[in-house]
Amino acid sequence: MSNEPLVLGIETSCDETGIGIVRGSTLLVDAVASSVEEHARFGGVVPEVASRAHLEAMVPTIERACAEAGVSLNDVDAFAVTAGPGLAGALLVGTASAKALAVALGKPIYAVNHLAGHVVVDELEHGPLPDSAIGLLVSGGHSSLLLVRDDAQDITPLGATLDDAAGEAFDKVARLLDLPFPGGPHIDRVSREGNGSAIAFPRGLTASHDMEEHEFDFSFSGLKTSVARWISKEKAAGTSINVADVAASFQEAVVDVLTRKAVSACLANDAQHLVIGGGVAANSRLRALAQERCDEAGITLRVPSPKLCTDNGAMIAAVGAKLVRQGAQPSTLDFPTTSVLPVSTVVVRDAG
Amino acid sequence: MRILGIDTSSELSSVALVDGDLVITREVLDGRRHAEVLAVLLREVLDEGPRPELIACGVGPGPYTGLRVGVTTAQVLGLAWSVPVVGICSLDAIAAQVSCEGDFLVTADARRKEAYWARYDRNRRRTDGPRVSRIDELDAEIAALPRFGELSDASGEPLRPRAAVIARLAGAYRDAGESMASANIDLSVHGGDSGATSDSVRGSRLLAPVPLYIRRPDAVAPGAKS
Repeated sequence: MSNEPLVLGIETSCDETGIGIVRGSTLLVDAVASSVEEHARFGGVVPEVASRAHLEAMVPTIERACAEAGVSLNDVDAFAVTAGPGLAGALLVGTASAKALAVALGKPIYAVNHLAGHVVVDELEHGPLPDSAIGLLVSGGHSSLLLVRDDAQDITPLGATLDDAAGEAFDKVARLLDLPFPGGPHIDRVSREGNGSAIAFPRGLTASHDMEEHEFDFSFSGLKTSVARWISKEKAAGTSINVADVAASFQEAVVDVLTRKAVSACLANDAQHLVIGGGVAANSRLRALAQERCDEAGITLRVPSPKLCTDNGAMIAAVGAKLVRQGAQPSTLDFPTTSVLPVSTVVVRDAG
Repeated sequence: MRILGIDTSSELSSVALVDGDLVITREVLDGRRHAEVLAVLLREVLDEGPRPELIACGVGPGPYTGLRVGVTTAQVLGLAWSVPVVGICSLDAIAAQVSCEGDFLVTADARRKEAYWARYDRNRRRTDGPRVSRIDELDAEIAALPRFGELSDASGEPLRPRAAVIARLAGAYRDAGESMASANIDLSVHGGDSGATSDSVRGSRLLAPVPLYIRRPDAVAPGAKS
């Protein structure tokens, strides 16, 4: 095991400063400093606040990760960092840090795709991915279905949200219900007391006329509007709002579409495994319904533990370690950060 | 003493290794590519000799995104090498290149019709600032001073903060036994009082290696319309 490469991963694409260290496919440490509380009073992530917080947290978080893993920076064989997609200013703090480490210690650097990290991180807990798997990535910034092949060297997007990300819809509906930011955990919590079929909210892009062009795409903006309209109509009629029922019915609409499309993507692509990643993967109803539907369809469901579902450095280290194992060419020091990096680009090699 | 200087607070990405009379400088003028070029310049400079004993970094004020690239890099290099890191006000590094009979101003473009500025005496010692304010709202006495840097009246390329100057200033202040300001600003996440830096920065030349943001992040809490 000690012959396997020691890789340190850095993630700063949104509001979490993540430093993860893996040896081969063994997770040694996953240190995260979050600025979420700084953003809560604004009701969403403020890019400049996130960037400032990343810089402030960077050195202490690297130090903490090394101390907890019992390794020295000099022992690290390669560095990996999120090159995109994400907030441009936030990404730059991570890439500048990783480049500085690579230069200072004379070690290779891999500029990797954040979305690939959300899929590959599952290997740290559940072993190697099969030749072909479907990834469902759901977070505050992303909602995508991916076909992951060839040891994650080949990632093809099958579909994505056309408007709001799933996590964004959770935040917006939470605000409508006077629940705090970030909305996901609060909606999950109050939904447990509610009835998910109390209100029939719309399932975006599931009608047959949408399915032809958008079979694996999502849309959550109409759902959010529908919840807003329902609430104001009830209020106008003087009816008191049952927050638990609204939250549960909204949540059911989201997870119904996500799991339905994810399972049909597996069947359509002959993939035996479904991996769910991203912050929304922590949602208990999503996990339960996905398990139910995967069992029915004979698909193996893989969901990392909640800590590895949200943004973290371990997922970036996991991709880095895989690239080292595959003998991939490292990135050159002039690689750019790309806020809209397509998921098909697993590694950014150079400035070209 | 072998000192590595870094400044990315202006459009110039500037890296220098200074050791006595030896100066190796690498620079690229492109305000949008700090993050791409800086590590490459660093490796070129570092390839030429042993590890520096001190890292000196321009801490602005200047456009945040580029500034953070240099400051982050300096901090992390210091961590990786276990070498001390100090900050120098980037306007001081411009002032050090000026020769002027009397008091003068150094200005840098803060966008939104505003300037970052600091005032210096004829010995190039900072007597006020750095601050940020609308250039057309400066006191008449200050506005009448000769200006250097971006937004100066002179034609041609403005003076910019150079890493070799940053490194030399840091070495000179250290040798003179100056102590480092404990913190540049109340809290860098939120910024200090808008338009001014803390007293410790105004009184210090050797700063902590964290950005001089001066302005708060642009963000308004819901319901707290300004």
